[in-house]
Amino acid sequence: MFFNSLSFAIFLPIVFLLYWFVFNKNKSNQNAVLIIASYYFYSCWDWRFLFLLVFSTFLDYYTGIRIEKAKSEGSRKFWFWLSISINLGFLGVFKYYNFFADSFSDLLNGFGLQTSPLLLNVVLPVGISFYTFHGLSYVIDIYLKRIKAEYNFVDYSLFVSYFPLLVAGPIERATHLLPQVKVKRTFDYQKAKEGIFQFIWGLVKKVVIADTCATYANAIFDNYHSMNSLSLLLGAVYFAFQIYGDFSGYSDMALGMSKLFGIDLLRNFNYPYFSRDIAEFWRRWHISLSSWFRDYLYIPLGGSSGGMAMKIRNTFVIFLISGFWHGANWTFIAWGFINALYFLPLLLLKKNRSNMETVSLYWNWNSLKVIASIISTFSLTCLAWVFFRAKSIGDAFEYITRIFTNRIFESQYLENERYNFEIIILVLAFILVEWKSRTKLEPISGRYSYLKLTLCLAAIIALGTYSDYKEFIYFQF
Amino acid sequence: MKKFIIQIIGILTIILILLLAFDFAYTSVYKNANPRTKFQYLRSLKNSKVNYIFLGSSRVENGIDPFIIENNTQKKCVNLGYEAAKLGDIYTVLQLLKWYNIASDTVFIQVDYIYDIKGHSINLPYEMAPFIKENQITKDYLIDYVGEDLSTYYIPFVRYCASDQKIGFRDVFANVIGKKTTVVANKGYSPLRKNDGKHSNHLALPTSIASHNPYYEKIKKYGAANNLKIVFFCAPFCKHTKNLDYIKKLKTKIPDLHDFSDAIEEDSMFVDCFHLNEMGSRKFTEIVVEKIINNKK
Repeated sequence: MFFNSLSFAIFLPIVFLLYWFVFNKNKSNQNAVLIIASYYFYSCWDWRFLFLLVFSTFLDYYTGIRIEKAKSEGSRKFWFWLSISINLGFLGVFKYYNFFADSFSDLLNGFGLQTSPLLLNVVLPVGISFYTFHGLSYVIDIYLKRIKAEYNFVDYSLFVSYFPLLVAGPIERATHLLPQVKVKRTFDYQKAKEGIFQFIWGLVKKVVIADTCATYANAIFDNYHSMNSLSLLLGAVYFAFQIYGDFSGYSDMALGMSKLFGIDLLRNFNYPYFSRDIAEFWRRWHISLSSWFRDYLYIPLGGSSGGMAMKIRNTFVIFLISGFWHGANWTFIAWGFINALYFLPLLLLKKNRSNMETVSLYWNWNSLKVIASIISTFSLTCLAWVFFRAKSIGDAFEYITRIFTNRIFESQYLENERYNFEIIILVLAFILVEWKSRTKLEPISGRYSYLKLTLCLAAIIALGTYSDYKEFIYFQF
Repeated sequence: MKKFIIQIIGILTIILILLLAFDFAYTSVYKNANPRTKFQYLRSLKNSKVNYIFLGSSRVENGIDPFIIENNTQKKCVNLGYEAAKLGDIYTVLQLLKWYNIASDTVFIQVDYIYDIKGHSINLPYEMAPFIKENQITKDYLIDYVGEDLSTYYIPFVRYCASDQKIGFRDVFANVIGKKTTVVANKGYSPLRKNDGKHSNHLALPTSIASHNPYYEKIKKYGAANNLKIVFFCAPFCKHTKNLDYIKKLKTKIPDLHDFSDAIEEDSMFVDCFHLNEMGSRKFTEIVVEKIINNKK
């Protein structure tokens, strides 16, 4: 059941009505409705994985309490590491086992030892990376005595399984979400209105921008051997907008629908393609994951407190693990590595925190410099996205090599019976709308909101891609 | 909450109005624009006479050049072959010829292994979708035969969303600016340009034949009831095609079938074993003129 599916369009109003009109007496009833809805939502993918979700929830709930109640440091450590090991163990088995087995076998084959790896025929449970990280942050926070353990199982379950964020985040923190589920929510018209606007804008990003760009990006990436330089450049740009529209669209829908239930979720995107350097990009892209790695990996590793060597080491560790988190493929690790390389000059020049404020342009020469820095950052990002999208590292290198060696910059007819340049106007219009609204959560609110809302609905209806349906990219992670 | 519910009702109303408006606009464009698709072309022939009409699958679409027939006979001819069309699709087009009041001297129908295959054309359903409300034949075809969801009929604009890659904004825009297509300029003929004669893909016909095909029987009855002269023929296969004796079995089901399955021998005339290239289609069209049309005079 995807957020942009017909079944979800039926599911969401039913949950909304039950939540506010039938079970609205107290927070327990409200939480019960949301938890049942969340489990039903999750079981729509594969009911068998529900057991995994419930087990993971129970594990962190129980170990959290045991850590807090532990009489000795040894006992605390025992329960802490038990939880970490089991959580990462699940992730390892379901997500990474086949990758490691395959890679190890390739390594042995490289030394002339012929082996065939024992692979597991398992489907990756949807959202496992996200809810595992929810649980991990909760247990780590208790261990580090930042928060108290949650004793109400339903409240804790809702923190882990809340359906708007269950399958693709944002990765919530107990300090942010648990206090909200522990009180009765009262209906707030302004918040609900904001939620509707944000949900609709998310839908525009998904079905108008991401899925349309995907049609072109797929035709180019899947046939890159026969594509000219212009097509390959456009393919990288289209994929950049596909993944942005897809993931930030999902996040906007999640945040928007959560507001309908009176619950705020962490912001996940903040107009990342207007970043002036890579450090700023990573403060604006998948914010909940970046900050998770910062708080639970970078800082424990020493963060910026050590010398330059330690900073560089920690930066590379973070980016490589972040890449690997996305998927069990060398392409994701390469993508993480490339981003770490991009980050390196900023770190060495101590300029990684130089662009903290929202970008502005004026009629002066400095603005030209700003525009140039935005374009160069976006270009670097697109280059890295090629590795993210390519099937193998070899394909990615060949794709990029062809951009520079083919040198034919003319329109090309693609396999999907479309010309390579056809959606440039759509992409430019989207950039313009985002630029105008870069200080807000979404572009609909404010003056003429109902006119803008109507235009968005018209775009969803007339410009959306429905027949060539594409799943949300981040569901596979 | 009351304010919010009013807002939601307002949004739903806007959605409904937009659906109706877009449905009206798109359908008007498809009805009134210069034809771009073969089905629009068929509709443009409304209330006219076309002497020779060819129906069938891609083996007609890519294999019969109407201009050669017109030059040879000085009579009007169109190619209404549809990629992957089956006898059910052909029966629908045949009925629509009458509905659109398109008269003809002879309707040529290409039959081969499609006698044994269920399913439907790839292009015909979405080309017909804008006109779903025009008549019962189109509705029955899309809903009952193709199996489109009922929502495509009852909910405005859903059919355009369901086929947005083909009849979405991009195609409507092309209609509005009058972008031409070769299929209409060629009177429905779509030549295949590949010409290397190296087709290693030796396709096979079925080993056995179905006892009957309900749509063949419907076509026969329909022709008789409407006084339509229908000629069944089988287009050429390359000599490497496996199970070519299937055509003999087919002749037992369609005794008056004009069999051209072995009429062209040169590999260089084929794109693959089932499809003629441009050169092959010219040669085959000339054979059809000589063997059927001129003989039938």
